Amino acid sequence: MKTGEKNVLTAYECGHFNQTSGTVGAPKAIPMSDMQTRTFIKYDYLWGNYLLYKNLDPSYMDGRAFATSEGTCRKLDSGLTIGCASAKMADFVQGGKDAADKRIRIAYTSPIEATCPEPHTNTKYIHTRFALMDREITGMVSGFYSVAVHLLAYIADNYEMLINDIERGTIDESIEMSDEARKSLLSKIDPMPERAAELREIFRNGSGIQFVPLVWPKLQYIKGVGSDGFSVYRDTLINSFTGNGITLFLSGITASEGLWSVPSGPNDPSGILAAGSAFMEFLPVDAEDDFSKIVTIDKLEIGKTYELVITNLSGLYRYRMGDAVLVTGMYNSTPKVEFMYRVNKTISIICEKTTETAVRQTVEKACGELGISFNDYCVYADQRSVPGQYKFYIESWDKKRGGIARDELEKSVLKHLLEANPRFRIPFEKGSILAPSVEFLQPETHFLWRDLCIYNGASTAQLKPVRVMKENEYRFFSNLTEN
Amino acid sequence: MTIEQNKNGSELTIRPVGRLDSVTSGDLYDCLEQNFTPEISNLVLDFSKVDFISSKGLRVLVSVCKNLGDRKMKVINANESVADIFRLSGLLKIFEGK
Repeated sequence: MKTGEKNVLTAYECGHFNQTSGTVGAPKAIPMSDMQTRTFIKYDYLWGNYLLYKNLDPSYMDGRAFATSEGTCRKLDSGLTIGCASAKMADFVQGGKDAADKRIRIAYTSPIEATCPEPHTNTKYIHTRFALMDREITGMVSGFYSVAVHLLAYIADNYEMLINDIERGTIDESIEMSDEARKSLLSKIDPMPERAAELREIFRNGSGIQFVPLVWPKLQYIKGVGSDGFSVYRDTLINSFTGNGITLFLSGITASEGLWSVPSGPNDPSGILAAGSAFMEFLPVDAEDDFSKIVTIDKLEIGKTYELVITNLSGLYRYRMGDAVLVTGMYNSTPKVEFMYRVNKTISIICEKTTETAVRQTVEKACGELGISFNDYCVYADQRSVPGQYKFYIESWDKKRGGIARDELEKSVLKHLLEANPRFRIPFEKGSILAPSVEFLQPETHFLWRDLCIYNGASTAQLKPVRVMKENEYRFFSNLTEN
Repeated sequence: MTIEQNKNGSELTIRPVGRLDSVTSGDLYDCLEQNFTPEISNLVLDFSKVDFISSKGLRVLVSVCKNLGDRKMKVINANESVADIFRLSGLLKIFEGK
């Protein structure tokens, strides 16, 4: 297909390949037919805008959005493209990159130097700088909520430099980017001493405040992937940066392979199945790969969890997505689902299969019981010795964590792990698995890992947080604990 | 932590001694800010006396990497656990290559 041969896998025209991040396996190039692109636009763009219109004050249309997405795209010898689908936009806009930039910035603050960046460009600076310049922003659109948190933390850490640059109309020399990008960006910037003075007043006592409603007083909504494994970032967003006055829209289930659900409304982690986007089948997760038990959308039962199997508009046939979804209810006559966990991202030492959701619930409840907030977490199933052991690593910016005894935290984690995954109990009581160990990571270690992945070429938009660690991740994180 | 340094023409060797943790990493950053001036084309970080590096310490090194431009940087004599972190974070190839 990549050579341009037609009628391979699908009869639809296919001009693009999505490149996956490789964070959950080897990077893949996945065909995206023109028909699938149109379907994506219909559900994501039209439905997404309808929800905003229905649920927000109409004044949200008066301002732009702080958009954090970015991606790159390159042409193959055949003329087809590979990379991030949104980065293709510049190809379609008459007038090329400059015209695309103007169109992007009608609706969003970030210029094309950040949305379609060159390698080794400090896009965090560009996104935040252009967002801070605009007081009238009404929304924030983020692929994953982790990206939104990452950028707001960047502002908290670098507000002095950003404000100085806004005042003078400059870009600090330490900011990494090509000379060409710097020149182009400087042409889009004027000194803004009044805005700088306003921002300086907001941050006069430092950045340890919920600064978002002060910096952008008209901001009404934040949209992004913020359920299940990303819920910790949703909490950080509210507790550290926004407070409770912003409407949150949680994106549906979207992947390089396609779009499977759309958001059902504000602050609802469930999405409505996008029935027309693909032919969907559902394998009950307790069916143990018995495909005679697979069902279609009309046979779904509320309260049951299924693995999603799709046949899409780009040639994937009965493709196992590896996503487990819980049926939570109905929207009119269409089922609503919530993403639960990656089927192949469970951890096991015997056969207890602890899911990412169980890990999250364990950490949430243990930290809640001891009265500390947490910002990130990950776990490793250590089988290098017998019996094996789960090793939890929790990152907390909460100063109260220093007063928590480690054995107290470990007892709480064990208690809640036994609740979250009842299958853990038997091997634990038989002595086949040790009680879990828990250590605190140094603050912002997950951010560091993310930055390093980006520095080494990973796509910002697709990076997912580390939850169930692989060997190399374990060696990295276990070296960066607080002890 | 103390920081020893030696300048030889356009080459600067910095030798931190002790733990490069969340407190002392700032000292290394300040030292590099003051001494890794544009006329220095080769920066050598001798880690023979560093027994621990924190995430903040790694951040300092990443920020140096980002601002190298055409200049060269090398980390030498890192102990096995520190070198392992460099390797896992993808920084080792940069430190050896640049």
